[in-house]
Amino acid sequence: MTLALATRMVSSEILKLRKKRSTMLWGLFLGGGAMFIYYAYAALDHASDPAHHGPAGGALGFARGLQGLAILIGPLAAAMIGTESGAGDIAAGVFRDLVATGRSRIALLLARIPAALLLTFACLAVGLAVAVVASFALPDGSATPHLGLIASGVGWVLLADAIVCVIALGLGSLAGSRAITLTALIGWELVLSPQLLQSASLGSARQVLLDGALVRIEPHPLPSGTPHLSMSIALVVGVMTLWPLVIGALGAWRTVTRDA
Amino acid sequence: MTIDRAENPALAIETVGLSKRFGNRLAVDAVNLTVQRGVVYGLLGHNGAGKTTLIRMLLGLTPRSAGAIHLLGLPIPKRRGVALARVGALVEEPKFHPHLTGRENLRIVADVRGLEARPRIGPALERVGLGNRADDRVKHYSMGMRQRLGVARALLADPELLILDEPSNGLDPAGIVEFRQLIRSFADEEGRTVFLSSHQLSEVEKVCDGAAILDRGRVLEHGTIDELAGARGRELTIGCDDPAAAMAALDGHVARARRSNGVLRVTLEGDPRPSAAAVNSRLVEAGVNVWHLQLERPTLEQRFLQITSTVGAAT
Repeated sequence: MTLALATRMVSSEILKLRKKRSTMLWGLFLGGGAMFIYYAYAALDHASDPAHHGPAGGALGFARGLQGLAILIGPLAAAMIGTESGAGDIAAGVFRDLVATGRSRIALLLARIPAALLLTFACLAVGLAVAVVASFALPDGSATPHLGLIASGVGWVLLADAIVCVIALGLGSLAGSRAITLTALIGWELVLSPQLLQSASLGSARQVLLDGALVRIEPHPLPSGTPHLSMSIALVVGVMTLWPLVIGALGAWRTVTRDA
Repeated sequence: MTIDRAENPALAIETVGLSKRFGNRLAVDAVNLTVQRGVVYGLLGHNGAGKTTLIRMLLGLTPRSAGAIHLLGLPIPKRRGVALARVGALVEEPKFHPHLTGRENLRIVADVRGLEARPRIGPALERVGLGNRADDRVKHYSMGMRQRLGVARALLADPELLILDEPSNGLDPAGIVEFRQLIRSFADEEGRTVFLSSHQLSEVEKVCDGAAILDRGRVLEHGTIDELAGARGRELTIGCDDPAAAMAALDGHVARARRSNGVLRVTLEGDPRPSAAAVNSRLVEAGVNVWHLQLERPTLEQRFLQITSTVGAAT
C-alpha cells in the first residue's frame, strides 16, 4: 500500500468522524467546553472567597486543568472518539463492504488510529488553549506557568489521552458495539480505576493501573487527587505501552477473525 | 482445505465442494458452481437456502468450512486482495453511514479501493440515477435509493465481476424494470459478469442467462434458463383433425398425451427431443391436418417449485 493511499484512507476516517456531529460536539464539550466551565467556576469561587479558594489561574491552576484533561475529562473525549472510530463501521454495517474491497482488515484498522488521534487532539487543543489562557489571565498574583511546564503539560495530556483513545479504539473493534465499549470505558475511567487506585490494600498491584502510571509522570504534581504511586520510570513506560498494545492487539485479532 | 488446480481465467466464478457449517447445521453443502465470464447468472433459492452464505464465502466475509473458490481465475483466500480489487459486491441489505451523504459514503469505499476509484464516484452515481440526490444524507434515502447507492458502490471497482445479493429488494415496479435493464447492460454493453442471488423467480428468468437452484445449501440443478425451465420435457399443444392418427405418428417421441378442449397435449421425449417443426413435418407426412401447434414451456417458477418440493418431500 502506498503512502498516498494510506493518506486517503486516513482522510476518509477523519471524514467519518468529524461528520458525526454528536460525537464531535461531545468531544469538543469535554475537551474544551468543560475546561471553560471549570475555570469560570474556579474564578467565581476565588472572587467570592479568596481566603479558602486560590486563584483559578497561575501554575497551580494550570496543573489542575492539566490533570482534568489527562485523567478525568479528556479521557472521556478520547474514549468517545476512539470508540466511534473502532466500532463505527461495524455498528453502521459497512464493515463488510470495506472488507469486500479486498483491502487487508489490518490496514482498515490501522487507518483509524491516526484519524481518531488527530480529532482527539483537536478537541483537547481547545481545552489546552483555555487552560493556558486562564493560567495567565487569572493568576491573581500567583506564579504563572513557565514555558517548560506548558510544553511538558501539553505533551503529558496528549500522551495520556492518546493512550485512552487507542484503548477505546481497540476495545470498540473488539466489542463491535459503541454502547458496550463506552459503558465499559466510562465505568472504568470514572468509577473502577479511581477506586482501585485509592485502595491501599492492593499495595503495589496498583502499579499496573494506567492512571497510576500517568500520575507518576505528571509534570506538576498536585497535593490532592489521584494518589502518587512509587514506580520506576521503566515500569511507567511498560504500563503505558502494554495497555494500548494488548487491547489494540485484541481489537486487531477480532477485526481479522470477525465474520464481516 | 485448498484444492490445487490450474487457474481458469475463462471462468468468473468457480467453486468446488464449497461448504459452510455453523455448528451442527450445514448451511452450504459441497457446492460446485461454474460461472462463465460476460453472462448474467442467477442463484435461485428460498429464503434461508444458503444464497447469502455462499456469497459471503465468495467475498471472504466469512471463512469456508471446506472446498475451494476461484474468482476471476484467482484462488480465494490466497489471492483475495487481487481478485476482489476487480469485484464489486452488494451483500444483503445495503448499509451506509447514515450521517454522511451518498457521495461521502462512496468516497469512503473509493479511498479504500485505491487512488483510481475516486473519479468513478460521479459516473457511478449518475449510472444508478442518483446524481441529483448524491449530496443528501443517506438517512433521508428510501430503501430503493439505498439499493441504487449500493450498486453505485459496487461499480467503484470498475468490476469485471459484480456480485449482487437480492439487488431488486425494496425497488418499486418501475425501479425493478429499470434495474433489470441496468443489470443486462452490465453484461451486454460492458462485458461484465453479473452473479445475482434472488428468490424472485420471474426476475431471474427475465434477466439471467443461466442460473443455479439452491435449496438447503445444495445446488439441485444448474444450466441456462431454457435448460432449467424445460429440463423435464416440453409440452406441445396440437390442434388437428385426427388426434388418434397424430398419436400414432408421434409414437416413440411422446412421454405423455391427453386430450382436452378439442386439442391434443403431448409431452415430448427423446434425445434429442424433437422440435416443434419436426413434429409438424411428421404429422403432415402422416396425413394429419394440423391447424394449431404451440410449444408450451414451463416457467422457471413452475420448475423451481417442482424441484424444491420434490426435495422437500424426499427429506
